[in-house]
Amino acid sequence: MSADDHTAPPAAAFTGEPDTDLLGRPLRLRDRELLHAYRILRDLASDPQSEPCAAANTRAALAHLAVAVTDLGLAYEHLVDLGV
Amino acid sequence: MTRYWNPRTEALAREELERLQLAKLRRTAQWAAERSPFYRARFEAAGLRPENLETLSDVRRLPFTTREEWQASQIEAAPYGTLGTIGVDQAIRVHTTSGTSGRMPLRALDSRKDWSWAAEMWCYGLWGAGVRSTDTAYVAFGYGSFIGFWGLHYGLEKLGALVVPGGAQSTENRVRQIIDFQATVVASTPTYALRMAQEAEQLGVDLRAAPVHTLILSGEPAGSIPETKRLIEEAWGARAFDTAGMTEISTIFMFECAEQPGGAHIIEDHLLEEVVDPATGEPVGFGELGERVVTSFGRSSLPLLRYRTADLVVRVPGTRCPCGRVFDLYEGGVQGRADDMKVVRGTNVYMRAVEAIVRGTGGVEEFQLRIHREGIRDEVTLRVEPLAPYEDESGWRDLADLIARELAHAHEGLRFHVERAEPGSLPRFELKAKRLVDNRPALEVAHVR
Ligand SMILES: [Zn+2]
Repeated sequence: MSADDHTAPPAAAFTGEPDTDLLGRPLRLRDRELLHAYRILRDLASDPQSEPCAAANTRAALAHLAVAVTDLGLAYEHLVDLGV
Repeated sequence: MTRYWNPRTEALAREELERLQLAKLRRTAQWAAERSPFYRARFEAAGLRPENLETLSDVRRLPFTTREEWQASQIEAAPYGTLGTIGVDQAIRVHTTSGTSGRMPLRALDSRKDWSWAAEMWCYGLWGAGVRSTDTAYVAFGYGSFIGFWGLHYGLEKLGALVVPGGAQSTENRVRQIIDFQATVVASTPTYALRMAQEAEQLGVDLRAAPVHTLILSGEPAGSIPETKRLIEEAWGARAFDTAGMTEISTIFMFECAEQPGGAHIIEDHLLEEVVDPATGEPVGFGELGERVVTSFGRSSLPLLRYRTADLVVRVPGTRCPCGRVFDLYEGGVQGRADDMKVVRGTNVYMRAVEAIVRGTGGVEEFQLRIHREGIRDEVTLRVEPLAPYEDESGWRDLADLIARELAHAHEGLRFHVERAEPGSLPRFELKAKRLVDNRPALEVAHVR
């Protein structure tokens, strides 16, 4: 099964955030999935109830995923207020 | 497997790359104006709003940021200054400049994402040089507070290579570890790559027969001096790739790709680089020597805008290289430092040109250039430790004459005294070789700026 065979929700359906990349091009399915994962981590990183182990590892994962979505031109955000 | 770490941007059309840069520039400027005390004041003073940056060249409406301003801000608000956007509670690392120049070291904090980004920029270069997850990489570096190869270490981990941290070791131990771990990649400064090769020869270790296929060089411009690079490649039986970075942006800004086109690609999707006339600050064109000015998009904790680097470079279009990257090149890497050029009796002396000649003879183990004053006259003396085949009197005489002749030829006839130094008497370097000693009274030393 290739990445394009299963369906990912359009990012905008979850967050109201843009459904295009930084150049205004429509997102590919795999890009949407990556952005979706990034946004989930971003939400989790702002949860003050997380266990220390979950909070720290979520932030570590978010740091790396933020670099990936920036590399691909999908998002470009500053996350220092989330400790990232 | 793709030759690009990031095929999405490295092979973009120029116009698209510039649109991406503009989008990032506007957000970086906005972030800096909101969160960096230094830049907030700067935007206010310039009467400029970040949203008014409508084209890439609008960046020139912003004043330069200088090292002196950074240093002054560290004194005003010790220890980290006012450029940054975060406090120690949001930071996970601090690094400093090397301090080898005798100036106050700069200190820079990184957040988690910023540190991942620093490693990422190294990944562009490592991947571009052909380093893969199957490699074992030996990092010949001291692992102190100086940023040096720290980012490379994390970049290697990120791309999945096996990293051997070669900190706090004698050169002999490092050579033995490279063999024992069967390293396929070695990272060091160009000077130290030569030093390890000399050590290996004394130990009777044949590096050319070892599995090392790639050397990642950084920390000094010599990785792009063809004569030095050739010596390194011959001694190791491996290909050497130049990279260059700076603490001020936490990572590398350029890397040499597998095509080895005689220059290094600028990582343009994450950095906006300008080349300006050091005296006027006006932009210079492709093919002209000028000073690098960097704007970095990658570091949320330290959004650097139009930073004067003092690196002298010649920018040429990326199409010069057959690899297909859109990223422009710095031809011959970093050609020198604006503050490294010396004027001796009206003649410009660049250490890079001196090193190219000295290494080109193939007869020199170590050297040092001293500029001193005799009465009212400036003199320049090259002190040389010859390699074994040139140690006897006639071999040394021939070598010294050759060096003196070539140096004079390259410097409008300026006479260089060439002196022999005792074996092992000249300083050896692991980082940032300082082979230029200027003993003239400070106020009368001429600088380019
Ligand atoms: Zn190339």
